[in-house]
Amino acid sequence: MVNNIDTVNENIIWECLYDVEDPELPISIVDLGIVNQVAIVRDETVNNGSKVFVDITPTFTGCPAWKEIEKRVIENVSLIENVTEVQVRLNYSTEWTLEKISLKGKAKLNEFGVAMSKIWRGKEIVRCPRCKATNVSRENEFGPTLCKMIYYCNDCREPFEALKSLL
Amino acid sequence: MIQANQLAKELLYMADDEWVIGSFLAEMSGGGPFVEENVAISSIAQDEIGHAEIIYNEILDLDSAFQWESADGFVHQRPVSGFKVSALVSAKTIDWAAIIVQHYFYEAADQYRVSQLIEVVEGRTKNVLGQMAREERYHHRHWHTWLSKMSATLEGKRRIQEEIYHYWPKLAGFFHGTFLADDQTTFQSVKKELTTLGFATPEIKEGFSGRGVLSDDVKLLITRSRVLVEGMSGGKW
Repeated sequence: MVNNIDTVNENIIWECLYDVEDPELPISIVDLGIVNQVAIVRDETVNNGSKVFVDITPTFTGCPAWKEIEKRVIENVSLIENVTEVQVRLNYSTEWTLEKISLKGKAKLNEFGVAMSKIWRGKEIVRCPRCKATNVSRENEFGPTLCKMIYYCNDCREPFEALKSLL
Repeated sequence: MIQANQLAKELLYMADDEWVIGSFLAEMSGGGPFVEENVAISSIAQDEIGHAEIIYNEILDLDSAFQWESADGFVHQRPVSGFKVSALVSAKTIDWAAIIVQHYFYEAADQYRVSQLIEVVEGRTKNVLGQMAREERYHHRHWHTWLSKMSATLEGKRRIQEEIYHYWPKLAGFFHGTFLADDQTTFQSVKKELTTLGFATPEIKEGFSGRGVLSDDVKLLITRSRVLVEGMSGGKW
C-alpha cells in the first residue's frame, strides 16, 4: 500500500534549519533568508522513511561558505527521525537581498556590529550599529567576506561592517 | 538559436577567464598599495574564482563531452591545451597601473559578455548569470574608481595611459572567435569612459584575442594548482 502521508513534519525541519548558523554571520540561515524551500518526498525503500530537499539561495554566487552551510544542513536535518536522505540544492531562481533577512536577524546582526545598507532616493544610507549615526564614511566597498563592506563612524570613531545592498 | 555545444564553448571561455584572472589577483593579495586595497582584491579574486566553479558546473550539465564529476576536473584533469584563456587575461603582471587597466578592460568586456549570454541561455544558467552580473558591477566600479584616482596626478595619468596603449589590442580582440565577434559595444563604452577621465584611446579596432595561446604564467598556474592538489588529499582550488 502506498502511503502519501509525510512521515516527517515540515515544521520540525524548519526548526532544525533554524539551529544552523551561517559560518560568516552570527545568525541562523533561516533568519538570513537564504533557505527558500523545503520539500519532503517519501522514500519507498525504507519503512516510514522520507527524503528531504532543502533549497538554498546563497547571498553571493561565489560564496565559499556555501560548502560549509551544506554540510551543516545535512548534519542537522539527518538527526530527525525517519529522514533517510538530505539533499541541499542551490536555487538561483530567486535573488537574495537584504530584505530577505528577518527583523530578528537584522537586530542580531546590528547587535553584533554589522549594519545594513539601504538605497534611498539613489543614495546609500548606512547607520552605525553602535551609536546609530548616519555620519559615516565608506572605507571600502569590499570586506572580509563577499557580502560585506567596511565603514567608519565619524561620530563614535569606530570601524564597522555593513552588508552590501547589491543594487 | 545557439547550439548546446556552442554555448558550452562560450561558457568555457568565460569560466577559464574568470578562473585565471581570479587566481592571478589572489596571488596579489598582500601586494596591493595599502591594506584596504588588499581586502578589496582578495574579495574580488574570491568572487571570480567562485564564478568559475559555478560556470564549470553549468557546463558539465550542458555538454556531455565533459565527463568529470565536478568543476575540479576542468582545472585538474583537463589537458592544458584545453584551456581557452584570452590574451587580455593571460598576461600576468604585478605592476599596479597595469593591473588597474587590465582588470578594468576585463570587467567591461565581461559585463558585456554576461549581458549577451543571458539573452541566449535558459533556466538555471540564466538565473546564475543574472546574479553574477549584479556582483560584477562592484568589480567594474572598483577599477573605474582607480582609473579616476590615478588620473588626478600627472605621473598616475602617464602610467595608466601607457598601459591603455599596451592592453588596447587585447581588448579589441577579446571577442574574436566567439559568437559575440562583431560587437563594438564594449569598445565604445570603454572609449567613452576613458575619454571622460581625460585619457587618449588608440584607433586600433582589430586587435587579437590570443584565446587558447597560453602564457607561461597560465601554464605555471595550472601546474601549481595540480601539484597542490596531488600533495594534499582532498584539496580544492
